[in-house]
Amino acid sequence: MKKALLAILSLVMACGIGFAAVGCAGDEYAVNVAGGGSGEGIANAKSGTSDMGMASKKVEGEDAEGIEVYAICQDGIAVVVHPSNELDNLTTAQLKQIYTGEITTWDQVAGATATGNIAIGHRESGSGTRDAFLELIEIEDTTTLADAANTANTTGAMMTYVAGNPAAIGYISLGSLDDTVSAVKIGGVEATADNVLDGSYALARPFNVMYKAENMTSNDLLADFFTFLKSSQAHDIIVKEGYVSGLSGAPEYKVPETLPETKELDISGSTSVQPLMAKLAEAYCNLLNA
Amino acid sequence: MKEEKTIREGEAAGAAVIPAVNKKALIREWGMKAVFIVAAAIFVVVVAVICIYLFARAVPTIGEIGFVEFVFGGTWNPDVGYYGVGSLIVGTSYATACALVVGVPIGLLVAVFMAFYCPKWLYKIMKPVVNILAGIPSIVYGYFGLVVIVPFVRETFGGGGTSLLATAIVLGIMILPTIISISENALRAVPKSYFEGAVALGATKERAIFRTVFPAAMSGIVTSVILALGRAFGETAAVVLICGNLAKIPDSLLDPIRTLSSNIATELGYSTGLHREALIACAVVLFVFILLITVIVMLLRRKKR
Repeated sequence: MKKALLAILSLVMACGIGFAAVGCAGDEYAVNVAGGGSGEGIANAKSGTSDMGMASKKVEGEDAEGIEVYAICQDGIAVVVHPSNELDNLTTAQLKQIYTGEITTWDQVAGATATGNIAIGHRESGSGTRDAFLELIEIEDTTTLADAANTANTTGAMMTYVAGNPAAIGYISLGSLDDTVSAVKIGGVEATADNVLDGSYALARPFNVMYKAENMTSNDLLADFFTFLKSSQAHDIIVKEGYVSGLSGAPEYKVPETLPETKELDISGSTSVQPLMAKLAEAYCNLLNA
Repeated sequence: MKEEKTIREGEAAGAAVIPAVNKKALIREWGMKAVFIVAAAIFVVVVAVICIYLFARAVPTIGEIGFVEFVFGGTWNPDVGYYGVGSLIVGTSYATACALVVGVPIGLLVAVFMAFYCPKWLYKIMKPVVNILAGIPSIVYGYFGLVVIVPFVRETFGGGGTSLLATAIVLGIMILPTIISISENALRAVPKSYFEGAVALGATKERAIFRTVFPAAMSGIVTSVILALGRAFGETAAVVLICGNLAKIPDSLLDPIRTLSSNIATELGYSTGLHREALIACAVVLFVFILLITVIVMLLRRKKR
């Protein structure tokens, strides 16, 4: 009986300490980043449910009515093959044929020096790179996908697989590209950050944020967060996460002398932008709360 | 319990005579007792919390997907809402079975060598090597598999390389230390007289070992194989790199597979909503299998006694 009481007592104490630790960690400023998808990001920005929406696609025409759109960076995807494969160029149509299994051997691909069956490298479902790649080569129904020879759950595993298999093809985010694998031109355009930024490289999509114009004046925390999104610190985070940033040479963000009155920001939308935005929000809050 | 009682009675009787020393000892004893109880309680609570958490989250999910569709469904495609782990269970079972085919014969022969044939100087090298093999982190095995075994399989047998065969070879190597050390101990635990008796009756050394000592050590050997099975079944970090992760029942040894654990490791990072819940349900399936294996080991041990 005493033993049981002691056990319960110790448990209660442990829980108490745990909750106290969590309770003390409350920061002053908070930027909450939620998912929901690009469509919801646009809708939430329009309705004002969120202070800012995120979308991992172009926001134009009807979608952009009544909201301001700003691209924080570009998400570029490089198609990679084994260095021994002298394949120089692919079109998005060819990529679609390869990934849906219409083309299964390297002989059917002009310019390829690899032989035999194409060993398809994929990323796991849920991966932002996979979603972007499938979207950009216009595969909507994933049940039409050909069986992959290898599904990797990290960029590193994908690159190691492609680097070790002369018949492999795969895709990675542009920021992670190195010379262990060889990147293929898409529609004759080389996979470089410059080509992504000027819009000529086809396998790229913008990471947009949307907000109501009047919020920028009424919500000082949002305005200040925007200054941060256009700063050199944001540039560093974007590049570190493997995305293409147009912010090189941007000024450094400094915490304003009069701190914002609004304490909390809600951001929601594309789950592809979410991880990057969460990193940005964390860095911003750390600066502001310091 | 009995001892505790006598001590307490002694304390009660002696308390009046030498109180100062006894009180100190009493406090110290109670303090230590509390420390032990807290440690034991934390351990039990951790296991209980894991069980409750997994099942509480998985049961509604499996209900939502449908038990039959979840466990026997052959298609895992979260993009369009198919959550069937049938092909994953088959993949895991194939990988485990093939790993045992690779690992058990080699492991048992090495165990026999180390118990009966190994010269002393070599044993001093072999034993640490087996321990090192057991201590290598599984991600290192995975990387080794990806850069050595996968290209080897592709060049020798064809196919994409990342396959059931590559997985079986790497898992087979990974379970060796478990089989070797437990089987060796079991073989050594058999009384010397068994071996000597067999040899005295005219059996050769090999015959004495495999016909007399081996059967006598059977329960220990079976335990080693089942523990190895458990290791292979739940292995994640190594398998995820080399199995190919294709959620489809393989037609040949050279086809890619996906195991339950690699499924969780692959997709947990970005999953949301029902997808994430389904992955936790996968963990429950894995958990139930491992539980079964543990129960079998316990029953075997009991039988031995």
